Amino acid sequence: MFNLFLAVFPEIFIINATFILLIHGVVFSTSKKYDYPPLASNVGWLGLLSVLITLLLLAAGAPLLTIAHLFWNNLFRRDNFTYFCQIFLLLSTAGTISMCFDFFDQERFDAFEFIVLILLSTCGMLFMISAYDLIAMYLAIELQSLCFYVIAASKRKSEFSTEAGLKYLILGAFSSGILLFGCSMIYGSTGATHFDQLAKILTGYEITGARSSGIFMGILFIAVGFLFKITAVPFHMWAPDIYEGSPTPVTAFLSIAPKISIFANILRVFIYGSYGATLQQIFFFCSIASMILGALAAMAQTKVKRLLAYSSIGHVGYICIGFSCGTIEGIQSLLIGIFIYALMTMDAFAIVLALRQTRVKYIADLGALAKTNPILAITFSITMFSYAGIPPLAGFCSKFYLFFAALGCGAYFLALVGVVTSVIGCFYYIRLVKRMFFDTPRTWILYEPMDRNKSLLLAMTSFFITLFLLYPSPLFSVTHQMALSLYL
Amino acid sequence: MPLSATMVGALLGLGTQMYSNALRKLPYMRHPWEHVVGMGLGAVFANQLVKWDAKLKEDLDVMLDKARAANERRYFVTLGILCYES
Repeated sequence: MFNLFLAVFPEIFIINATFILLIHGVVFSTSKKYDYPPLASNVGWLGLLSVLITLLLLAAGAPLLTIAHLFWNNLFRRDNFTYFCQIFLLLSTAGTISMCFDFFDQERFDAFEFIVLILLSTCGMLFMISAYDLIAMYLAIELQSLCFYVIAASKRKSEFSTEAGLKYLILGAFSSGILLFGCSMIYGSTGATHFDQLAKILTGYEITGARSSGIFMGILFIAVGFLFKITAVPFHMWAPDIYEGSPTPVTAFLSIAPKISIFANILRVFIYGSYGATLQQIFFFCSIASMILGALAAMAQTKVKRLLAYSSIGHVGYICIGFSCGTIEGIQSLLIGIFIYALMTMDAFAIVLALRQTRVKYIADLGALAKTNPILAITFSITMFSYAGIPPLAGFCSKFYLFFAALGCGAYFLALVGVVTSVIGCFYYIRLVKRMFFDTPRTWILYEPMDRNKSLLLAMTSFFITLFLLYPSPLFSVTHQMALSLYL
Repeated sequence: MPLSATMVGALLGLGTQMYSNALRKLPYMRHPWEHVVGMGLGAVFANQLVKWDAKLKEDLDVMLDKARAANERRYFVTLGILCYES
């Protein structure tokens, strides 16, 4: 029997934990008795603990059956898809928070609000994944986005960070406005905001003679709003500047967590709510454009974070292949792609953070890393080869499945563009490997030891990337279940 | 099967801890009790993963059977009713 309290207890717990940590931070950081202590690490560890407890609560309550439940006036839905997406989101958040502790010490970063905002945005993303109504979806998106605008500008003494936060605020608000406009047009044309009702009205609307410019524009605007948020071409312009200007842990979080929640939302709204030729063409075009631009623009980059930003844009293009197919295999390949992309990105940013201590900002600074820290150079190489899609690493498996899904639904051109851009992408990924192993840096740098959190995270993600192909069955089964849950 | 999962998991845990030490440029076997903890956690993780995979496959088969039955009800039953009426 469905117990509402148990079903939403993870969200209730994390919201309460967030506010308790906020009060704890405010009370003790302004305490003269304790000499105004910096609480970033302290709140960070407590925040990490909260995320892990939420993960345990969610995993313990996750039913492995096919029953879906709607709750809170049918605004939210609980099914296999929701559970596994939320578990995956919390794992990514925990991984990102664990990367931050050394950053707090090195940069003398004493804003405990950083962790509180990350937890609050995670709450928003949890609600976004389970949202089953346009209004609930929009409110959850805003809760997540507003926190991101602030944490992008969290390094108050840096002009780059302030500029990144301001740019993100303006462009994010603009895209949210477009999304809301699309929602209002859909509501105006159909009178419905619930996804079940929209599915009944909008399924096959292009062929049943019920065409309406309001519906068409509404779907178009919602798609544009979402494409802004996932940094798909041609709405990607903000991503490289904001990824470069924000503090590196923020960039890591922005690259991973919102993509999981927004793709989950896109699948709910479009695959279940409305899927037709118009939408497929939009995502077809954006997928091809993202893959091409991600491959070509990254070649010209000289900074590591900007290169990873363009690489992320390219990967969004690959992941959109799965959406463009519109089949169960397409959705399954999309989910596999996101999971593997998130782990590779966590690995890459953990390495960037580890190198940041030695002031590595440009690609040229990576020279002779193989001599100063050979194991780290090998780890970075494995990550880059996986990004490039070279077998037998996990990145190859995700691209393979995406291209096969495209071929299965007849999108031969999409698969061809994907393969060609993967080959082009190999150039700049392997260029990094060449720099590490064969070049000398511009100035010699001293090695500073990595902290235990990052080293454990790197070890686990590297083992996953390397050994995934030996036992891919659990990920394939769980993503298949998630894809079926969208329809059943 | 459980023995091989335990062994693989223990190896993975040991490997993770040694890799972590290597990344920090420490001796591979520094603080050997951490390696024991890693082996234990790895063995538990591998066993749970194998059990979870088996459960996932069972539930996936249930979902696919339900979907097949729903499709058959929708199309074959409707077709049957149409034939009867005609």
